[in-house]
Amino acid sequence: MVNPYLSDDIIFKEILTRVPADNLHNNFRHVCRKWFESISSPRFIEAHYSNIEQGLITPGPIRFKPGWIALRFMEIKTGKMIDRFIKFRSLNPCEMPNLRSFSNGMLLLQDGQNVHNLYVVNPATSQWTSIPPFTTPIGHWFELVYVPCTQEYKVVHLFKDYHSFTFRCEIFTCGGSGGGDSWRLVDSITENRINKYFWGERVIVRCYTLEC
Amino acid sequence: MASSSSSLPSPSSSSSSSSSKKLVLRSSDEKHFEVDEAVALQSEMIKQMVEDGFGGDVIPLLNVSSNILSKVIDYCKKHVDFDSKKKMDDRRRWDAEYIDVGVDELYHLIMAANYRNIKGLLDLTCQKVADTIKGKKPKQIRIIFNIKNDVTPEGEQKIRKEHSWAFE
Repeated sequence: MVNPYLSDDIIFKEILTRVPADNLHNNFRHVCRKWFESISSPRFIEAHYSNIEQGLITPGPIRFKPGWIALRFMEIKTGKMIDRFIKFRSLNPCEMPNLRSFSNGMLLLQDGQNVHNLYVVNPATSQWTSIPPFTTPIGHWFELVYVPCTQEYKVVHLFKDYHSFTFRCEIFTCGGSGGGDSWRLVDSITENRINKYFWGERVIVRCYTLEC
Repeated sequence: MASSSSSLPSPSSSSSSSSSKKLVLRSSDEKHFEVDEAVALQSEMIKQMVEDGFGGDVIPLLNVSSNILSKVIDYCKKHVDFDSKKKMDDRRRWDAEYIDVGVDELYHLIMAANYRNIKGLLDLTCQKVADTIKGKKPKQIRIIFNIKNDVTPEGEQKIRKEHSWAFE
C-alpha cells in the first residue's frame, strides 16, 4: 500500500489524531524523526486530546489485580461504563491504590498501604511515574494541577504543620526541567494567602497561586 | 458568518430556491455533472463559491477525476437524504458499505473531501485509514505511508530512555 498523495497536513491533522494514544506513543513516534517531532509536539497533543471520547471518572479506591489497575470511565455521550486496564507493575497484590486527584486527563494515585507512595498516571498511554516520598508525616491534601503556561503537571501537597498549627504547602513538578526531583516547600504560601477549599480529601488550587 | 449575512436577501427565499436549483460540476477529465444545489453545498468550498456569486457557471474541480467525483456525489446525495431523516443506524450501515474500497480509491476520496472541504466524508475516510493502521508496528507504518526510516536502532533506544516515564 504505497501512497504518493496524502499530505502531512492530512496525515497528522486528520488521520493520526484518530489513532489511540498508546499506539502513537509506543510505535508511531518511532517511524521517523519527523513523526517523532510532530507526534510529541504540544500542538499535535492538543489536537489529539480534543478528538478523543470524553469520560467521567470518580475519586476513591480503584479495582486492581496484581500488576494491573482497572479504571472505570463513564462515557459522557452514551452513559456507558468502560473499563480500561493499565499495566502497573510497582504495586504489590496486597496494596489498594486510591485515586486521589486528576487533572486534564492525568491521574494521581496513592498506594493504599504505604500512603507515601504517589504515582502520576497517564491512562491514555499507560505511562506512569512515581513521585518521591513527601517529607511531612500527617495531614495530607493533594491535588494534581496542570499549569497551561508551562505545560507542566504539578502535585500540590497541602499539610498541617503541627508545630506552628498552620497550613503549609509543597509542590512537585512532574517531568519538568526546572522542577528537579524533589518537593519544593513554598513558604510564601501561608494560611492567610492560600485559597483553600476542602472537599473530602481534595483541595482546590487555582493555578496562579502556584507561582509558575 | 459575516459574508453570508452581508449577501442575505432573506433566509426563507434562499432555502426555497436551493431545493430546486441545479449546479454543474466539471471533473478534471472534462465530464459534467448536474446536481441539486443542496447536494453540492455539502462541500464548504462550493458553498463559498456560490456565496461569492460563481454558482451560475460551471464549477471546475481541477483535482478530481470523474470516477471519484461521481463517488463523492453519491456520498453527498445520500447524506442530504440522511440529514432530513436522521436515521443513525441506516447512515452507519450505508457509510460502512460505501467506504469498503481499495486503498487507491480511499486516498483519492480523502484528497477530494479535503480539497472540496466535505467534513463528513473527510471524517469517514480518515477514520477508515486510522482503523487500518491501528496496532501496527513502525516498520509496517513506513511501508503503508512510504516513509524512509532515518532513526537508527540506537537512536530509537536513546529516545525511549530520554522519555523515561516508566511504562510497560
